[in-house]
Amino acid sequence: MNRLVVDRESQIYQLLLDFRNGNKAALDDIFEQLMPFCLRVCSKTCGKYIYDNDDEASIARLALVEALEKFDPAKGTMMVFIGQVIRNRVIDYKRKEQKQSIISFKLFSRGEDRFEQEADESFFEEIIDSLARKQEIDALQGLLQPFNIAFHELPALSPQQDKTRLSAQQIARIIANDDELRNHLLKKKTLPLKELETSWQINRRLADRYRKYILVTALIYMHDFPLLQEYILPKKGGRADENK
Amino acid sequence: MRTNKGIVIEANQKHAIILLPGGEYRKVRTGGKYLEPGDLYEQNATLLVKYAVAAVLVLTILVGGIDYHSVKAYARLGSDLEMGINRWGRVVTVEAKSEAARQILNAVEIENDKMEVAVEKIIRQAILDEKTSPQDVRRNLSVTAKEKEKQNPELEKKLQRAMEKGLEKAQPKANPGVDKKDQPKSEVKANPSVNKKTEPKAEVKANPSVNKKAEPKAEVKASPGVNKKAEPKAEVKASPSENKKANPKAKATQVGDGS
Repeated sequence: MNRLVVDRESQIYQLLLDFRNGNKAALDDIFEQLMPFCLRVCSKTCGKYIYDNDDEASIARLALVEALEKFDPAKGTMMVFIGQVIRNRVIDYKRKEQKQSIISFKLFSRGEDRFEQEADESFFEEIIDSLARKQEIDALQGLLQPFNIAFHELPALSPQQDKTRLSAQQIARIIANDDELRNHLLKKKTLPLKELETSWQINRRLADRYRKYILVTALIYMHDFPLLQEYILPKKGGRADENK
Repeated sequence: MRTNKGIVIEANQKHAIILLPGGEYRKVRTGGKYLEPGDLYEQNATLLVKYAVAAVLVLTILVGGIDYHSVKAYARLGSDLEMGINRWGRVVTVEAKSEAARQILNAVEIENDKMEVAVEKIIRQAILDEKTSPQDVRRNLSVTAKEKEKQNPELEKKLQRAMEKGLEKAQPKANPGVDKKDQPKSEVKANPSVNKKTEPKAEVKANPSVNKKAEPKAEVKASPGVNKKAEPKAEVKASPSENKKANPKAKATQVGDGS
């Protein structure tokens, strides 16, 4: 089981113990922490995005309460147990719904196939990892707003050639590791092109052309985004600090 | 199977933006698959191979199609029929410059045929239509390669050979037709009922070397109707036995003489 799951598991288990010891406020904290996970389990089970006010979300809330009441540490991992209970309740609800209403054969068969699949531990672990990545992505999106950069622009603004991409990533690392350059970037919301050219002999044309890509990469390096950082490291076994 | 596993950064119903290992951002089609930011997206490498193969096929067909229809040389049959030939020696364009040539083209389908076959078809049709003879065609055969293809003398030679071949193929089958054109006149004119004296005349006058003005005369002279008048006279003179029956007076005098 990965680190993220273990960390979250122990944190929530502590809150559960508090709740069982009579701290009613702990339940709110548990809900706050677990609802994204519960909704993601619902979404993955139903194969569509589940909003907070959907029926499936209500089913998930009820299932969460049920799981918290029934959970026994001896039976296994808490998150997996909660996920399994939510998944089973959502599947029960969906089957009931299908029996009651007339649904096209296509929808029915699709639902049946999905519900027949057994979910193992990795299914829930993957959801937890995915939520952790989502947190980083959301945080990065917030950071990019003052720079007027949207994610959908990035494919067109990214260097296509590996060599060019490596050069752009190197510029981003230089900015992230130099206090002066980093301050310039965060304060003026632009790349310190002049400084890069004079002090670091960086090709100004390249830096200017891929400035948005360099900005995004520099922000990922500058902040604590370990999951995203894994993806912007050079492909061939390189690490971020190799080119420092 | 190699796969590209990336993080979904942004997703909607149709597309998703993914961050691939190595820091590449890519927009991909999700094909209705439910994805949320943070999910891992696996792009099947075989799918990429399929796209690449499809692209290569489309390109090949496109380039091949264009190349197939590009004329590398022009072959001329006489002065009024021009064929555009591609690099594979097939007829891709045909142009008729006279009404007679147009009529031939209406009767035969030569586009996409090998030049050899096309030449054969045209010549046969021309002979059938009595528009030309293989000898005329042979005199007016020509192949001209386009300017760009001038560096390749082999092409012209190859096409010339193909034309000659087509002509040769057309000839043996066309010969009976030629005889029909030249000789039938003499055959018709040389009516079997006509006596031996008139036959040579008809043959001589129906000879292809004789000019056309002379031919009708031969027909008139060899006509059985005309000969009918001449026949009795000839018979009278030529057969004395018949004359005996025909002339009772002569017989009577002879008998009387004898008695």
